[in-house]
Amino acid sequence: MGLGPFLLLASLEGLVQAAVLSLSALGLCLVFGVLRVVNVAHGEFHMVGAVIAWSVSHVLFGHPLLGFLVALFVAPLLVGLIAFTADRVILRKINHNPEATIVATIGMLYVIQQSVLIGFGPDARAMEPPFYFHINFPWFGYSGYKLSVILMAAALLLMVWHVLSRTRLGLIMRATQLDREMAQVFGIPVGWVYGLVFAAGAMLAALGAVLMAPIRQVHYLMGLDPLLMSFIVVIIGGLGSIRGALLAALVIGMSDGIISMFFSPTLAKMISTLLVALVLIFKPEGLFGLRKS
Amino acid sequence: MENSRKSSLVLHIGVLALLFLLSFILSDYHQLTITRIMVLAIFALGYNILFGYVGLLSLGHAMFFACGLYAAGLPVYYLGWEVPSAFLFAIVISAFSATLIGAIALRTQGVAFMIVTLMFSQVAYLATLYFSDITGGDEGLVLPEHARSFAILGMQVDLTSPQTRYYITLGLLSASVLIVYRWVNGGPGREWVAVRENELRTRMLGYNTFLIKLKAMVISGTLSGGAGATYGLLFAYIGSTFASIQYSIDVLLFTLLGGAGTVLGPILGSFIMFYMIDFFSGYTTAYLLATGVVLILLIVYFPLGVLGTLRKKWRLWLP
Amino acid sequence: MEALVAVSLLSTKKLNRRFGGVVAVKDIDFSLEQGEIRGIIGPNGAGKTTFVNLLSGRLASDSGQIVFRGVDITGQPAWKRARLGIAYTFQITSIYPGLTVFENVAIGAQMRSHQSSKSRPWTDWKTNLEEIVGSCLRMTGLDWSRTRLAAELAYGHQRLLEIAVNLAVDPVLFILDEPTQGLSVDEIREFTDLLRRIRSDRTIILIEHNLPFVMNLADRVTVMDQGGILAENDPKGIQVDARVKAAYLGE
Repeated sequence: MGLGPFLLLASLEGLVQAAVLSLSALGLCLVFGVLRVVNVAHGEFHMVGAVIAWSVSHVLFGHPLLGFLVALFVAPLLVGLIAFTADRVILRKINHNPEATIVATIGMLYVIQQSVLIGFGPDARAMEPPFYFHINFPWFGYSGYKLSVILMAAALLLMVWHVLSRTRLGLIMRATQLDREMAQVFGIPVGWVYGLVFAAGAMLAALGAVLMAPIRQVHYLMGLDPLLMSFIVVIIGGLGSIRGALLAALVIGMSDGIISMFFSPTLAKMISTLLVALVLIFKPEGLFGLRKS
Repeated sequence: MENSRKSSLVLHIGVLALLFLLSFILSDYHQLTITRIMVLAIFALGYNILFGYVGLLSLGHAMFFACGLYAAGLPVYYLGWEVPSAFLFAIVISAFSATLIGAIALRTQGVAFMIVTLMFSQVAYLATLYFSDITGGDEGLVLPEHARSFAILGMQVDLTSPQTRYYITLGLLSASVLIVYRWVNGGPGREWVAVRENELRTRMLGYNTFLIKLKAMVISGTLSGGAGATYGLLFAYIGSTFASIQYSIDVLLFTLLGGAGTVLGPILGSFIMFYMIDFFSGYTTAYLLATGVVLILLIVYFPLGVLGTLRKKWRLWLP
Repeated sequence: MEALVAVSLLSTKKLNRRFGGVVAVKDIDFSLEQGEIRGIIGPNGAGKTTFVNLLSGRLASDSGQIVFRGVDITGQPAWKRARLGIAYTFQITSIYPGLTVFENVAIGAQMRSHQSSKSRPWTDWKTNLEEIVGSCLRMTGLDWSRTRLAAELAYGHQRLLEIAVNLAVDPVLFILDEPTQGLSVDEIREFTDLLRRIRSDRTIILIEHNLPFVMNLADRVTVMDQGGILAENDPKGIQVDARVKAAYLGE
């Protein structure tokens, strides 16, 4: 395979990665933007989404597509419910204090992860893709499902974009983000909005996980990687900026695929983590500077 | 106030004396367990200076622990250094890295500080894996035979004896407790608490708050590194597990549980948590569930921890 | 020229500060004499708080120069200026609510160990610290509350405590940002007495909305408007100044 086809393959892999990453990062970004808290358990919501997807497709007999479609609804719904409950029961009690929330969500991370370990077991399991077909390029064949992941993720992102910018719900969320007290004065039930946004963030992570489950194996520790990657994306994109995060997800998702072909994954992670920490220290507004002040 | 100060000093010395007396009745196995706990308690004591007194929540203190661990263990393993010189070397290196990391990380505060320390620590952890040719990575390295004993002041010290390890650790813990006790009751402690309670006010009174925080970070990192060095040298093993996030979270948990901002709190927390995890891991491999549950319960219901709650409830005077 | 430097405790030359497009402080030339009480008044948004923040170092100036006791302090951070003797009390009381009143003042008193002799033995210093705290608490009339938590004090007492904490540092210049805000008439009277006691060996800048209070205390009054100095005179002169009236009453 020449360099051209090789790069094409790498960018396709990168696009798939970027597609799922942007969903997950958007969730983290939304929660940070509106609640002003960092959800360390975000990756676990991703993991639970994948586990539910696997379980649904495992329980439902018949065509794997059926299981996949059901999972596409059930997984985010259940994960959203868990997240909403967690927000009402735990985070509301500490008033969403930013520092305490990090500690509490670390606790949630352990609780979720270890509960799945007890219920699901320590083994990695494969989920059957909803359909098989290969698109044949002149140089290599490529999984049609992976291509459809890119399209599905793009469609979901458009939906979220629409909800945020064009609907009343989006307006309420933005109002809460801008000024919590003012929103309260105008009769917006801020507590509920917080719960819903926290749930929505988790649901986005779960959606990404359902798309990803047939490609990657499902495992109780699989949440750590998306957590780290989402962190990187949100920080590089400028904390809380949705456009910045999407752009960063695209750039990082793409480059991650290419970089990992040249560097060892450990070294790549090491360098990227260090660089992102330095961005957070010296340029907290992010690299894509889309956010004003 | 003078009276309560005296009785609190008696309390601290009493706890240390109790640990000394325990050594006479404990079996070898329990001595070993408590030795481990006391090493972790030194780690937590160091962590607490930054978190409990200065109010800076680090999520990456495992990097300091691991720094001491490797700085002590590697020279022993590769260069055949003696135990005392390796220990001193580890202290110096820990202080140096804490200064460097503090100078960079302290440009942030609050949530950003938490994330930045978490990330730095993760980089350190990944480095121990990446350079596994040297560090032994996950499997770690077992220190050679010559490091199992050393001579100091004409005495031969045998590190394979549980009693010896117990007394060495207790000695180090006692020294740490008494130094920290003196600091938090004196000038440094007043400045730390001033930064914690109102940094702007403190700066506007003429204090260089950045320097105060940096000094505290160096003390905190050095104690943590000292604990790491002790662990590596006493148990003759160094491995990257000690650099993992898990250790950073554990030390936070010990401190929160016992009571942040009290000298004895982190020690108490280390004991309770160690035995609790020991208990749970007898039943399930998912013993980290306990860590998660305790963390949530503490932060929601008992943010002051055991000793912090007691101090507030009865207005006890505890440093 | 030399004589001017000798009497002027603090002076600024062409001091500027903007926030985005808004000019908050514009080309201010200001001079303060040792030992005076200076009132700074002006309508809301005149730039008073910004101006004193530039003096205390809480904000950095965009351009211009600040000289304090003959030293150019323009580029110095707030804590260094505080060590040179500039104390600042916030418009919104800023103390250590979680600590006892004694500890609050002790933090201020401990500052002196940084300022002065390093040769002082520690034991001596400890008794000294108690003495300083004691005298500051007596001066502000808070001696009774030593062991109380600062958060438990009434609002007026918290304001006094902030003064006590700053007094313990032994400052040369006291900048008080709206000290009477939220105080009752009786409390203001006590506060006036306190300031008269403090002033014996100190210089005070007083930002105030309470005009009778300022006119009663100040030796001179500076009126600010739209980021600049509109007028400067003794209280009587200010009261009859037509420009000042116009600024307050709106042309």
